[in-house]
Amino acid sequence: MTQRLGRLDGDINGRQPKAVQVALRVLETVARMGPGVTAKDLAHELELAPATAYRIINLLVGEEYLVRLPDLAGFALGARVANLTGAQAPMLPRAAKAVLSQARNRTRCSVHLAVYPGDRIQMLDADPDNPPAPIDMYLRYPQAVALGKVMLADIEDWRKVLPGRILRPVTDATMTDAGKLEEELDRVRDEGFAMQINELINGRACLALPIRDDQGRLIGGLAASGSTVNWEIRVSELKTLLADTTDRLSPLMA
Amino acid sequence: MARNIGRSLRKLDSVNPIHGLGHGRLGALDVAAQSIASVAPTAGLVTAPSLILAAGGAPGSSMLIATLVTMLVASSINQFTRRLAAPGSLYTFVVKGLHPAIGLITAAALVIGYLFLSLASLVGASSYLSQSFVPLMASTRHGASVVIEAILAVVIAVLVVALLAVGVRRATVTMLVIEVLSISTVMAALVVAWFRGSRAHPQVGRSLGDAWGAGGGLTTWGTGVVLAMVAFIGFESSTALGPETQRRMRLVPRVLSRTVLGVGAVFIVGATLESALLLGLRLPPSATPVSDMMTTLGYRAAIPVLNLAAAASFVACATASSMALVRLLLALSVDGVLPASLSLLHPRRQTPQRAALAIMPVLCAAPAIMLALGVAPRPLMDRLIETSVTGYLVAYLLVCAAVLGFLPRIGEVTVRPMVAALTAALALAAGLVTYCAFNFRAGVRLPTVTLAIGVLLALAWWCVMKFRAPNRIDRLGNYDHPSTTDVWWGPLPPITASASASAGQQVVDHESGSRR
Repeated sequence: MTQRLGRLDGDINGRQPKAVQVALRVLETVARMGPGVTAKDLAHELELAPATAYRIINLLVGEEYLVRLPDLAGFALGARVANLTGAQAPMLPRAAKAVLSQARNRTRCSVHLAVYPGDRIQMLDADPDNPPAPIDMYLRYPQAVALGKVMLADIEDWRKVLPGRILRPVTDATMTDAGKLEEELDRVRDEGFAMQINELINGRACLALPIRDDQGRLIGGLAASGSTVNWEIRVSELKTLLADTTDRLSPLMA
Repeated sequence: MARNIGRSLRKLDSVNPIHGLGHGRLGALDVAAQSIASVAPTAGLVTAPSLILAAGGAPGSSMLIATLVTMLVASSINQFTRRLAAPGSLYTFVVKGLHPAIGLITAAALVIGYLFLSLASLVGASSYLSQSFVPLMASTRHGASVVIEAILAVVIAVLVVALLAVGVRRATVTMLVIEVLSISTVMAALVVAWFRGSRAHPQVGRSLGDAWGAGGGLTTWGTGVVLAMVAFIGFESSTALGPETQRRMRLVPRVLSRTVLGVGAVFIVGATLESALLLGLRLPPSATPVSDMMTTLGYRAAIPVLNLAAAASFVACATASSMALVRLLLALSVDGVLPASLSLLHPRRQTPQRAALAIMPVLCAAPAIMLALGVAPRPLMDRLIETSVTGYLVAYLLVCAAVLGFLPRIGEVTVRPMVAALTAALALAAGLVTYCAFNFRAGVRLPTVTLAIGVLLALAWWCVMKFRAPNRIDRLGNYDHPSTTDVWWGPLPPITASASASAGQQVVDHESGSRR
């Protein structure tokens, strides 16, 4: 999310306290009543004149604090609200960055560190030399990426967190069968690593290991991705490297 | 509330149908450039006042009333732009507000509006460009100048399509620079001409009042207002860039209303000065009023510069109109009305490249062929503009009417927007009838015939779709709606359609720790 705070248009003299109060209360009410609440509901709930309520709601939609849902009548909190809660990317300690850069120096693959706030993948430290696929691919197709499989394997009812609860194909190799994915996730749980070959992008493969705190809770995932050429030969070496790195990262991130 | 949530979230998908069309890359200037260039204020300023005078109206007051009516239209369109962003602009809005069949009629009207305005602008650009070299070409034979105009038309068309393919950013910046230069040139020329003219010919100063005085009956007055409204046509075209604009729900409405206000102010002042000059110098109505004016005042040297300004403005207008046309075709293709291949984007530039290539043959060939066949550029341009205006007026009328259906549908009815939309719709209906009658009286039938064909084609296509792919009709009106990643789900996992019924359940699950 690009931030353009900068100047606000026109002269602000702060003499519209009511409007600010109503705007904040609208956000609060949407959060309380849940996604799908209509403008009419909001006006009724806040005992506002409809015209005032609609104007302020549309203003908040314009600022992207609210999102108008596809039926055009319902509203939800916009992704920008995350800025209010301070839910920006957590900072990575310098020691952890050093561990990551050591790992990057030891392999030709690109190494990415992700965390899973709200059961979604968030890149915490992507390989600067070799950036990963766009983050919306990760959000949309968690079953097609190794980091996503690590996350799904940790969630009992993983179907709930799939966007649209559907296994969408990206390439021919993407898993679209829930049963097969369940088997794969069982394997991830048993063996402690997840792998993806050609499932997101043809010719690319990825290996990911979970990072756990001392109580065994999942706090992140570490992935190494590279070309599928000679992938099988490199895997065991990569596994050792990632296991070593996750062991060293865990106390720095917990 | 649970029922509500289910209905709202049912369509919330992780993939946006318009995904990939350079999301949020445009700023306020780009969007303003699109609207201003489509209006082509220079062309309107040069031609409208003398047309209004010829029809017996008063340019100054006509422009004022036209500005007010257009403000109402803009505020009605903004009822949509504040709520959704769609590359199909008015077409999508009408689908959402009234009915898919009426939406297709709007699409046909808009295609006529955008396409014929692009063609007219290409003819205008080539003819003004060649006229600005008239001193150089005085010796050339008529046949040679026709060939030159036709070649120029092709060159400009290729240039326009190239601009579309290179990317929106560069195209809009180019258009804005061109427009600002050409408006300032013409305004400066008018102001200087008026001051000098009123000194040499006292009646020029006295004619200032005549530019505002109401003359004739209601029909003359109405015709004057409609002809003034023609000058505003195209102000809404930045709506089509909505999905590509940052903070679009805030920016696009503001650009629309400010374009109308700004351009309206230029028109009111410019039309007053120009008609005072035309009346004061007792010039007969002609196709090139400003050139006549400058010749009478003895500023022959200014004419090539003014023609160049007009040509540049036409190039910008052609670019803006075809940019909106290309996005409309993209939207129709995404909706399954046109072949899916038209919605292919350039992989890196994220421009609707395929749609741009599809209109290229028409843009390149049609004006050049007409010019080469010896059709005089001025009448050709007039017919094309009249056709375009008829299409636009129908689309504006339908979108204002759609507000009356849309606001009740989403449960956000308030008195003021409904009254504004109703007033605008009635004014546009009256304007449309007046305009068609005016054209018919002048023996011009092309606009009405083209429009009738467009409407019939739209209805026929709707029937075909209804018969062969009824489920496709339900999916009409795709717009840039939010996807799962635009919503803040808080600490909860995304609630998806079928999981939404157990939304409360999930809170419990999450807190009691469903993790292994």
